[in-house]
Formats: sequence, structure tokens, C-alpha cells
Amino acid sequence: MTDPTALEILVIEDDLAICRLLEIALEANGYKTSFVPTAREAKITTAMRQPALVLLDLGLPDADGQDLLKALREWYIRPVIVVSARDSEAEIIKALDNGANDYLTKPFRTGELLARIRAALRQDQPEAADPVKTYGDLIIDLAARVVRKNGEMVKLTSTEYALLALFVRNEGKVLTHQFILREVWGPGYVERTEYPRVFVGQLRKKIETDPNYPKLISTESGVGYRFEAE
Amino acid sequence: MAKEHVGRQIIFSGLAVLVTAGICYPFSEHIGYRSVALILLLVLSVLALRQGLPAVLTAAVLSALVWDYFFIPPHFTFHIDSAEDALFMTMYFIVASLNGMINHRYRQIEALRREKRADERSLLLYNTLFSSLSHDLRTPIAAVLGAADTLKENEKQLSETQKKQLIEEISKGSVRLSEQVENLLNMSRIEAGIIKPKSAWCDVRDLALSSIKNCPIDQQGRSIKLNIDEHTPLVQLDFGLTEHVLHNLLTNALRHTPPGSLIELSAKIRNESHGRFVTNDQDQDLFTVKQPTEHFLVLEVRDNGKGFPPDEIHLVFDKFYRLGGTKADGTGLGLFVAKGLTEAQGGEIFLRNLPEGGACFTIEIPTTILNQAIHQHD
Repeated sequence: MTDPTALEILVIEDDLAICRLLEIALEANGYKTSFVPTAREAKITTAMRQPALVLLDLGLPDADGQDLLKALREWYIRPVIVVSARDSEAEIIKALDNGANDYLTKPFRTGELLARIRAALRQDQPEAADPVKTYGDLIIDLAARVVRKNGEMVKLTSTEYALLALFVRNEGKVLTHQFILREVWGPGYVERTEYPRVFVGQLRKKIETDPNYPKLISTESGVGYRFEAE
Repeated sequence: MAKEHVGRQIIFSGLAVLVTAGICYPFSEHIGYRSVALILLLVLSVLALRQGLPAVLTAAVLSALVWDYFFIPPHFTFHIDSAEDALFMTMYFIVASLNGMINHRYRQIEALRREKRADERSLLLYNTLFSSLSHDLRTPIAAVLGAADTLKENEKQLSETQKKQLIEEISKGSVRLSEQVENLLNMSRIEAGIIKPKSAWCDVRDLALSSIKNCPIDQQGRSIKLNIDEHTPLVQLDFGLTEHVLHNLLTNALRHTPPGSLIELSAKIRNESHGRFVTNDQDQDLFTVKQPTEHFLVLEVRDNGKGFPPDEIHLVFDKFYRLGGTKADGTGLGLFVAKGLTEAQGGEIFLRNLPEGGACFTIEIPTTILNQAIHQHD
């Protein structure tokens, strides 16, 4: 517990029971923890301690968590995972648009939370120089723009490749349909909401081992997609 | 009562009086004009049995005037010669009006009584259902609390295995509670009518996989098979709501079929105008063309279990319905919520027993389909 190299996670949450639970779960997994119950203290503590990751509850006593998230995002660049009882797709999309790396609805399973934290921290690591990514039998060479599956070249159209590269660069992170549209097709295409669905379908057929049961690109119901190597 | 309705009744009653008077008119010499009044009174009494107060009073006034004008000598004047006729006329009017009022009042009391009886019945029903609901919520709470207390107070005496079992109980109880609270929240959303479906393009296979993802892992060999054509086009609907409907149908099947049962989830597009299934041809280079005809996404969840008792099928989607004699751990809300969320999207849900055994739930949701892929867009 006193490992000086342990990463610190700041939990912004006003419910004591949840705090206690998170403290035990996070420390048992080797993280340092600190807790603040209000938005005001959250800003100060985040600035002072520069935690490796922030867990944010949206229902805070003194401010709306979405506003706090926006404020934090003006200068805090490490991962923020929202943990909230608000479960509407609109709220989730708003949090992701406001800069959250991930979103978990209460009640959540601790195992799931830890997996999301690991993914967010991994993603936050300074980009390893190696542009070649390996996911099981899928190898993506971002420098050479080459994708191989089982050693064989996968022929991707330029849009499919752009989509895949976007996923790889944001591994583990939920990408909303709107974000994907803006990044791959451009701001003029945000209305073409069918594009991500169609192209993710095509991409799955080419890179998934069993496209009927996709493992790499998972669907976040009503929100978007997440690229994740198991 | 609606205004038009009252208007129609008044016209009908007036006509009845006029027709009766018209029929009596040629015979008034023979039967005497006072008998005509009795015949009119009879007609009024019959009217009073069915019509509302305004119609009956209108008919009473009209018939008194008609009788006076056409039948009481001197004819074709409202003048009444004899005191006897004046008295008869007044009595006629009073009896006719009283008749209408008494009938009206009686019907009011009857309606109140019926309402009260219905209230009592629904209260009784509510109490029964409520007690089963509170039982289903309290049981998992009791399991969680009990296990937690035991762990807290007997920490030293408990073996590792026992501790693990208790922890497992807490975990299972919480999942059950969470599911039931979810259904209760949805029930109130449905009843408050605040569900606003948000249509967006969905991959039907994604929808199916998401709905399966959160189903409990079955320990008794039940399995879910997907049967979705890979060329099923994208459809426009509310992903979250539809996923929830499917999830509820699947958990229901997992819970109520015998161990080892096979549950099949299938999807197809039904084309209303041609009445046939549309599967789209591959690799056509079309852009997003929407067909002018109406399309429905038809989702089916079928199992090879025992099916539902035929006389209970119509009750299945009722709030708190529980299959007779089952001791399942649900709240009886899952299927109610499934129906509510389907209907919120303008869809319909049906249940039938399969001839080969087992039950089949069908959901039909009106939708738009994306006719063809955008393959070589770049």
C-alpha cells in the first residue's frame, strides 16, 4: 500500500459507502486513492495532486458533474472515467463529448471498473515508438499502413483503414458515432449516422476472427464503439 | 358526456315524439286525445330508460306542446279551453319530467356503485400484487443483509468455503435486486408515458449481441442461438429500448425453461406492402435509398420449453403476471416492461405456443431500412 510508485486515483464522489468500497477495491489492486466530495474541492485537489486518473460522479452536491468535467478538461489531460447513476444515452454521449475517457453506470461491477481503469491508464501511456500493433493474429502497421490477419494482407479501403486507425489510436476508449463521423469523414458528415454502422460492419468482416461474434470492436449500446484487445 | 352525444340524443328523442304523434294523429278521433297523451307518456318512459336528462326533458316539453297544439281542442292553437284539460296537461308535463329525472338519478347511483365495485376489485388485485412484489424485493435484501451480518459477526468461526458462499449470496442477491429495480424504474417510466424513443441506425446483429451480453451465464445448460441473416439491412430504431425488450425476453426464457433448453433469437425484415421478407442482394453499389413501402423489424425469441398454459397467454404481459405455480425470482414485471417499451416505439408484441412445444415471443417494430451498403464510397 505504501508503494511510492503506485499510481494515484482521485475519486470525486459524495457517497461514503461508494468511497469506502472504491478505496478497498482500488488499494487492493495497487493504486493510491484520494477522495473529495465536492466540485470545489475536486478542482483544488486535482490541481495539487495531479492524479494519474480521475473517477467522477456526476451528481455532486455543489455543481453538475458535466460542468466540472468541462472545467477539468481545460487543463487536466489524464484519463477521466465517469461513474454515474445517470444512464441515459444522451448523458453518456454528453460526458464523452465533454472529454470523459469512459463512462460506467451505477450499479457497476468492480471487475468492470478495474478493467476500464487499466485500459484508460494504458492508453494514457506515452506512445511507444513502435507503430506496429498486434492483437492476437491481427497485426496493424500504422507506419506502413498495412494490416495483416493470420499473416495475410487484409485489403481495406481508405475509409476502412482510417476508421481502423482511429480505433487503434483510441484503444480501450468509447468513441461516439458523432466523433467517428467527424474524425473519419469530416464535420460535414455528422448527419450521415448510418456510415459508422455500415463501415464498422465491413471492417468487422475483414478483421474479426468471427465477424458474427465480434471481439475487437464492441458496440456500446446507443452510444458508439470501443476497440479493445481482450 | 360529449356535446355531440347529447345533441344526437335530443334529436333522437324529439323525432321519437314527433313520429309517435304523427302515427296517433289520424286515430285521435277514435281513441280520444287523452289516450294520445298516455301513449306519448309511454314513449317518454321508454326514452327515459336509455337517454340522458337533457334529451328526456326536451322530449317532455316537446310532447306537451305537440299534444296541446295538435290534439287538445281547439286544434292548431296552444289555447286550452277546459280547466280539466289544463290540469291534464300540467300533470302530463310533471309526470313526464319526473320520469326522466328519477331514471337519470337511478342511473347515476348505479354508475357510482359499479365504479366502487371496480375500485374494490382493483384494490384487492393491487394488494395481492403488491404483496408479491414486496416479497420479491425483500427476499434478495434479506439474503444480502443476512449474509453480510453473518460475515461481520462470525468472522472467526466461518470457514473459507462458508465465507465464499456468503459472499456469493451477497453478489447474487444484489444482481437480482438491481434487475428488479431496473424493471420497476422502467415500469414507472412506461406508466408516466415519458419514454421518448430516439431513432438511430442500428445493426440488428449488434442489437442481438448486446441484449445477450448481460444475460446471466446459465449454469444448467440452457443456450441462446442467434439466427440473423448476415445481409439484414441496417434499421432505424431506438437501440437502447429494443435491446432492453430483447434482454427481458431472453432472461425470461432463461429463467422459465427446463435445464438444457435451447433459446433462439431471430430477426428479419417484413415488408408491409408486398407481405414478403426482404433480404437485400449483396454488393450493389447503391446509396442510402429508402423504400417507399413500410418495413417492420420482426424479432422472435423462441424456446423449446413447455410453453405457456393456453388460458394464461392473454395475461402474460399484465403487470406482476407470474406463471401459475412457478416460484421464480422475478417481479413479474419483465414482460410488462417488454410490452411497454415495444409499444413506446409504435411496435407490437405477441406470444404464442409453438405446435412443436415451447413458446415464441414476436416483436414487430415499424422501421426504416437502409437499402444498400455504401461500399465503395471512398
